[in-house]
Amino acid sequence: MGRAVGVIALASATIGCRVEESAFEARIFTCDTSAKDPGCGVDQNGQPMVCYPASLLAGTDFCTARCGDVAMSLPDEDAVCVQGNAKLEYCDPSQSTDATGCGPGLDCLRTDVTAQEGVCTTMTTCEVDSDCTDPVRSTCVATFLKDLYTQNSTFDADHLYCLQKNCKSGESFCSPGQSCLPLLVPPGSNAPDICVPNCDSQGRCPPNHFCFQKISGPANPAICIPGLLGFICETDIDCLVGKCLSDEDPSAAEGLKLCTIPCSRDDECTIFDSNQGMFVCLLDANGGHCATPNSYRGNSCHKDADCTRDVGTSCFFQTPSTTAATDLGTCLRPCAAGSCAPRAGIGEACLPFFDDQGSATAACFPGLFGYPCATDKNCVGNMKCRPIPGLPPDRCTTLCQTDADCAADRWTAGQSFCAGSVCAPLLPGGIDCQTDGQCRSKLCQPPAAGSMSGTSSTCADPTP
Amino acid sequence: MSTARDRAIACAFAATLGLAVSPRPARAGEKMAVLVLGSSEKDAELADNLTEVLIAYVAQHGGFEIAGKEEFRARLGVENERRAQDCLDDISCLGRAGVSLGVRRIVAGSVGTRGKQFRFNLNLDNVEDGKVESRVFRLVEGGVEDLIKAVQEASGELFRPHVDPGKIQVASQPDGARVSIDNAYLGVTPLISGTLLAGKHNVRVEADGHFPWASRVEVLPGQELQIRLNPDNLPRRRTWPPYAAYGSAALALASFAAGGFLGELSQLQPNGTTRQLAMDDLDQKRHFALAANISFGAGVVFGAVSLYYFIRYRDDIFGRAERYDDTP
Repeated sequence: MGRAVGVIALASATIGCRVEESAFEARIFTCDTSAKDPGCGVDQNGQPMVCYPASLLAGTDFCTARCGDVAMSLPDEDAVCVQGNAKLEYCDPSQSTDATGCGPGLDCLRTDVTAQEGVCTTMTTCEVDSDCTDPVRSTCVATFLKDLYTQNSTFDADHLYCLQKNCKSGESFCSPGQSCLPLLVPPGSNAPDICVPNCDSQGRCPPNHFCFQKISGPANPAICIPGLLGFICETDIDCLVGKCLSDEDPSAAEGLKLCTIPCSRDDECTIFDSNQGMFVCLLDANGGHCATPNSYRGNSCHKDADCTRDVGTSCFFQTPSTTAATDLGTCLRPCAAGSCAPRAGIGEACLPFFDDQGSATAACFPGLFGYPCATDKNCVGNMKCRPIPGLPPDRCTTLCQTDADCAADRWTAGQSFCAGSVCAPLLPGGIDCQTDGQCRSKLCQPPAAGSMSGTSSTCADPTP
Repeated sequence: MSTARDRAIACAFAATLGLAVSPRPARAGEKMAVLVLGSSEKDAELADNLTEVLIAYVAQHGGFEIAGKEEFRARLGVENERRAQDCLDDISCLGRAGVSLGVRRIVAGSVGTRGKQFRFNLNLDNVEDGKVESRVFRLVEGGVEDLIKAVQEASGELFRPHVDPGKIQVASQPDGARVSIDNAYLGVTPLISGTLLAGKHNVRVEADGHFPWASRVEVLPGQELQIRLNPDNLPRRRTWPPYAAYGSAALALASFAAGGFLGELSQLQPNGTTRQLAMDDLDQKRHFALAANISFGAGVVFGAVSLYYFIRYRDDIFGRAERYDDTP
């Protein structure tokens, strides 16, 4: 009798009715990230699932397995742990649609334009703007990247997401949950005119993005910044271009983690030159990687306590007035004995600043063109510390014979003219000039009739 | 003395004998004596001619060796027809004549006329045991030809083997079983049938709540065959196996139907506005699948039980096929 029961039980287990657990687990369930309980339940191992906010990148929020707190690739599980403890399936965007590894209802979102890596998510990816059917998010990131990296045609600009642009120039509002990037970051950062997702309440962002506020401190907006080359990051998942590596300056603990790609020559990096930075190939023990001085320009701060992302930095101001809530300083490292050592291979100059008490002090800043310097090591790229006529002390610059030489140098282009044998910064309004090319306003005016100031031409004031 | 009628009779007998007494191969056989006497003196010639007809018929169809009628008449030791008739009616007298003739059986008879009718009788006497084995009597209207034909037919009947009828007596435990013989209902046990021809007969005995008994029995001539059926011959037919077999079959079908229904339910896609609700629905479908498997398992068990009952108690459920048992 017992044997018969056993046989029947075995037969039932073999050929009996079974619920298709795997099919259920493969199903995509939408969820509401704003709900107190998104209703995702638990996975087949009994672990609570999370509601992944795919809507931040024009997808649909969906339930997925939970992973650890650290965003990282999980090659053993053929998955990627993204911010928000969401485990997404790994996919290969170079494969055909059916072979990417994503199940029904999912598409492969590329997470690195320099490698065949992606994650499966509920969205329709794009390669060109026409792929973006949403009239609001009508621009493919591929277009944005091609406009940004005009010298580079080697990256893989497919399986990307659609975004909304011209939120500032077009004076259009971003979709709920998004913010207009150029309206929230300092003008000097040359932020593109696009809408970016807001960080969630815990400072989490979708893949290829990092939470600006979480990394750079409370003085920065809680928005998700695309992980472009040279941008700060926490993990590889944050980087749209390259991997997230420490600059090792002077150690991993004190360095910055930046999105970078390996290189062996400068021209492998210069193709990424844009208004987001000029890149050089810094050779190190591991070979070399692309870096930009812009990575060390410091993040915004109100006080020293805001400078958390970069060890050893304090809040420095360009003016002594720091009382207004809107006054923003920059987290920089103070000069040591009046000088600055190169940081992770990037030359830094000791520049005058004010501390949060309004007292004059000095801090290290990348030795860009025209910045005062003491040695060649204070200058970035191929610039040297040289005297510029009429502009003491010595400054980071390059040699030249004509204005064209200065315009051809990527470090001085657009901001210098050839003053004798070195490139000099463009002249502000009211300064004597000989040609239009010497003026920031690109206008060298002859003296007005009856003027008492002299007989020389002067630069016109820049148009506001 | 002879009349015109007598002459006509003589001519008819002569013609009959010319046809009947045809040469035939002699064969070894029983010796028999034949004699027909007239009822009166005027029928003596008719009787004599009839004797010739009989002798010829018996010799041809029976294969017997016939003793001469004159010799037989001489052995009777009588002078006239009247005395001879008395001897023929006396078996002891006839026995003596037969013994002296060396025959075992004698065909003896008489013939007479009554108006326009002939009447005759024939006996087949067994002189050894003194019994009359067979006898015929005929009253014939018509001519002599009709008489001859009737005599010949009577001769065939006279020698036709006589079979005694038999009977069948049927008793059963319990009493009251219905008895049919050769598909004819006779009554209930205990029962004695009427006379039956000797030979094989189909006997069937049925009792309420019992399997029937049937047999093909042979009844010998004069036999009263006794059939006594005990409870083993009429085993009680159980009433519960049909309920058990059909009941378990119904349960098996119901189980399979329920299993199929639950199985279909378990295969539906889990529904729910959220994954949690869909999981709850999935959990319910797991229960459906489990219940379906249990139902299928129960269906298999009930089906096996049903099959067992149908096989083991097939006679109780479907009835026993007609079979002929040995006579107890």
